[in-house]
Amino acid sequence: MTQTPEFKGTHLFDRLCWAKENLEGVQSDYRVVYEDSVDECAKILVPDPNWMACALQGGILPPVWVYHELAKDEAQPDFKKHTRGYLLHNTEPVEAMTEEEAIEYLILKDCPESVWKTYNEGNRLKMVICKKEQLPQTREWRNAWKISDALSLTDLAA
Amino acid sequence: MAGKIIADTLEHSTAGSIATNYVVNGSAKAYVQFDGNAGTPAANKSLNHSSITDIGIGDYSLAVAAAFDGVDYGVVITGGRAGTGGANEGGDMSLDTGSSGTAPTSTATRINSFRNTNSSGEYPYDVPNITEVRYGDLA
Repeated sequence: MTQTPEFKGTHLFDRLCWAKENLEGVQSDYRVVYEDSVDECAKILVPDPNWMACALQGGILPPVWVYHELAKDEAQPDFKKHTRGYLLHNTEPVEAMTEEEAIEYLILKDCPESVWKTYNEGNRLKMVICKKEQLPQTREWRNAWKISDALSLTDLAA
Repeated sequence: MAGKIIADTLEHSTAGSIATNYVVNGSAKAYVQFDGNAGTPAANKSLNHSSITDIGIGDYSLAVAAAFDGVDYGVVITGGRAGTGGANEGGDMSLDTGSSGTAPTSTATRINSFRNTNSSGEYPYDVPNITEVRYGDLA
């Protein structure tokens, strides 16, 4: 297995370039299906293969809380430009993840907070992690796709 | 990292010279290519991307790993020809700027693809071979 260089303090973009040159992309079969509005169809998050390779390799990606800190800065009304980008580069990178842990990380990074914070509250599921084979194989009626009501929180608990 | 050249200028024997900051600042910082009419669109080629979110027909959110320093970076989007690609139809791509949807963040952009026909006008459509490229400064 390729050894990850000591990357703490290296610009995240340089780490990603190293990964692209040295790691084989990993096309994940996992998909994250979520709904953040009752008026809209289900959305489907698909991991990037090069990003997934970084997650599985370890020592490349910053901890997900770094993105949350930057999002907080960006939410300020007077935000113009990030001044804490160093968090991406100087924070100790996360260790190797399993594919499932990587999906959890990606949910926290790229899904709306309103979805992952309350995914198991309310009368119906807002988010499901599944395999791509479990989704429709064509895009017919794509804008009508919803998470099935047959999937309940009780099913998850069991 | 092995190998490092530090230089402020590149000079060609006949064509002149260029400051390397043009090269550094002018290089794309992220790109992704995917098929918009695949079952669920997955990246075929990419750099600095973390995910594609399929929002609906002709509607995608693209997220990067190394954030940009703000929200005013440059985005170039291209898409394959829509539908049958007949003489009277074409495809359009657009960046959602937030007027009716989701404004770009330092990590994510939302893009839309459309089909244009003489008979039906323009409407959202899943087109093949979508490429998004971003230019600008990273955080």
